Amino acid sequence: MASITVQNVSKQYKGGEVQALKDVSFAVQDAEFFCILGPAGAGKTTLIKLIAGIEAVDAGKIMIGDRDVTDRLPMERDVAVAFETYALYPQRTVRQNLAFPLQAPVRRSEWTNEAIETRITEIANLLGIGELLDRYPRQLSGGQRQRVALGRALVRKPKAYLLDEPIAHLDAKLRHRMRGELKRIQLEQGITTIYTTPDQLEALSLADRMVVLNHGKIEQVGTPDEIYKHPANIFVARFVGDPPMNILDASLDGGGISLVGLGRLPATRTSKEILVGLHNSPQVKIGVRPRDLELLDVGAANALCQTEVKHVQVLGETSILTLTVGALELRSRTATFQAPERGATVGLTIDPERFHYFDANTQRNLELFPG
Amino acid sequence: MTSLTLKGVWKIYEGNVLAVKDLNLSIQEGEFFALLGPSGCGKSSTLRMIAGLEKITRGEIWFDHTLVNDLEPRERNVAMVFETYALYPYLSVYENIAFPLRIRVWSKEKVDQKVRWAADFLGITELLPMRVRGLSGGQMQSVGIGRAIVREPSILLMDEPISHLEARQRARMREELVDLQKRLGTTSVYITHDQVEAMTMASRIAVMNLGELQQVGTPKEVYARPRTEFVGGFIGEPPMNFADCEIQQEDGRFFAVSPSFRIPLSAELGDKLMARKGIAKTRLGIRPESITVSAQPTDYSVRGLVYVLEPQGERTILTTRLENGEYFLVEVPPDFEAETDSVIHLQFREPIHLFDTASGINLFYE
Repeated sequence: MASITVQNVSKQYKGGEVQALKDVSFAVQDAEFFCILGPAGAGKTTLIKLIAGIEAVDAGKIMIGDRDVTDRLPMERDVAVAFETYALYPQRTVRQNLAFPLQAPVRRSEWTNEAIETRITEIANLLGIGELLDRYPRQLSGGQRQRVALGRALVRKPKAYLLDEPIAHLDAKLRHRMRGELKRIQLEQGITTIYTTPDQLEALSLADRMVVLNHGKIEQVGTPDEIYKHPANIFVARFVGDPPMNILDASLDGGGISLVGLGRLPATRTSKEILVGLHNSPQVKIGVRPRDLELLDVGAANALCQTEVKHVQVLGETSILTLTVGALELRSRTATFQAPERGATVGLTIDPERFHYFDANTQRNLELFPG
Repeated sequence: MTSLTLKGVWKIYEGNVLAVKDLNLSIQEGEFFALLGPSGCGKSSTLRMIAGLEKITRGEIWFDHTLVNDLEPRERNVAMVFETYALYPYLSVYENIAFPLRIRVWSKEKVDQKVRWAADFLGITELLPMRVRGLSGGQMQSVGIGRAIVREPSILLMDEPISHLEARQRARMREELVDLQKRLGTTSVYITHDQVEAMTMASRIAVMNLGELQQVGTPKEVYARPRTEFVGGFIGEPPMNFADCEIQQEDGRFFAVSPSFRIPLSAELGDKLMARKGIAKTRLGIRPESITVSAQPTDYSVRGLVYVLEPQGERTILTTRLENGEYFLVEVPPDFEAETDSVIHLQFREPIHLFDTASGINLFYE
């Protein structure tokens, strides 16, 4: 068990052509479940490789506990890694693959044969691969192989687990179950875990805290709740949450909020505070979560504007609507039994207390970074 | 515009491997129809039989009033869009789209006119002179669609065309494909293993499993009234909860009883159970959003432990562990909080679905 600190880490590939990570810093606490969320190419896998010691940093420092491991070999770091690309030993059975990390010479004294067998059975059952122990990787489906790779990381009790998209290849149902089991295992064992994913739902579901990474740079670090409720900038606001947050052009004045293309709403305390901090121009970007759009009867007196329903996507109890107002397109998340038909015209309003304010140029959240 | 009818279609591969069993489907002209199911359910075999790429073992396939069983693929005038674009990387976008027309004895002008129409329709006119190699995934998919529609096929078949795209792009492509199909008006059959795609895109869905048709219906129907346990569990995320239980009657009231719970059923369900006497054991299905939770017990509430809590922004998914070890998922409000392993009380609200324990068929599906 240990904390992990990443300090001003940078990494380039191809002689500087590709800047994979730029001055990345964050601290993972002991026993924390920490997620690294970002789109493809954000630098997630690179970070895992650097923390594991599989690749060397160009600049910066990596600490595990209070020990600087920047120049240490992978085996000296005592972390267990699972990669999205399974990396199983093809000529070994599932059982042998799972036993491998426990049979390293340095661990000979810790693990008796019985202890190994018990641990393998325990982990295999947790991951639902108990019946596959005598098969070879080539006899397994992609999802099964991925669970073996994950099992091989979890079988040991190292200082930290580093899991790189460990359940990406499972089907939706199994992924949901595995996610629950992982969260449970982590909670019960209390082993510091770093977990990468491009799936915002997965990060929100699992993480105690998380970092949002984009193009090798940190966009925000925080709890899932902080990141969902107070996104640091428009990138985070739109990357986290489904469907993505609606972003509107707007301008503020003492009396109200003018939303370009939609209409005008009365000022709120927050909008007035933000206006005070704006030095040059009253232009801002306003973000609205799809579930915060309110649909009204057509022509309702309290409607901000009228909108046409362009698409209705029924997900079950919830439906996603695509709404158009002139050239503007908005997404709304609404209860299916209240959802209007495709092609219908309905009234639309938004409670301005629900607004998120962003700087029109820097795109930063004006409540977190005033002026 | 062409309608498509499958009558008692079977596909049995060599070695007596059953892929499709007695499939009956009637797809209307201009419809966006989805074939949904997990891998091995028979959806791809069905698509290939419609395209003529696979012989039908038994049964009939009709395009309008034409029996197409013995027609060659090219005589059927169907077009396919695949997950792998199957484009020619070193040819231009123009040549890729024009390719299906080259086998016809058409004038250069006519081919040119068609290619430009398809490109304009998809908004990719400016890509025409470019080589396919170097295009983005979304652009390549557009070219693939262009090549499919340039012949103005009578039926458009789409085989998981967007399943490899990244989540956000996939969400956008779902809408684009629906728009495209609406404007084109071509009868379309869309194959997918992703229930979200089928639910959000299709006007009707056929759910298949292990070669057998489970249900045909609109997205709302298959969600609200699953014909089988399989459909109940396959449609909807997080999935429906299931538990074996017994039906007991007491003072004219019906109860669903298991070692974990004893819950009263509504008069409506009770009447249906009355009408079908003799149902003792059944499989109960309830969606995560039909369960509410409270810290204190209420009448007939079900005791469970908090196993895992997963906040997801818009909602939170709570996994509970009931008395006899069953896991039940509950959708709770986003601000819900509870300690792991603390006791919690569940209230089951209808709709509650009751399935036959042996056949998996919904006892009250009409």
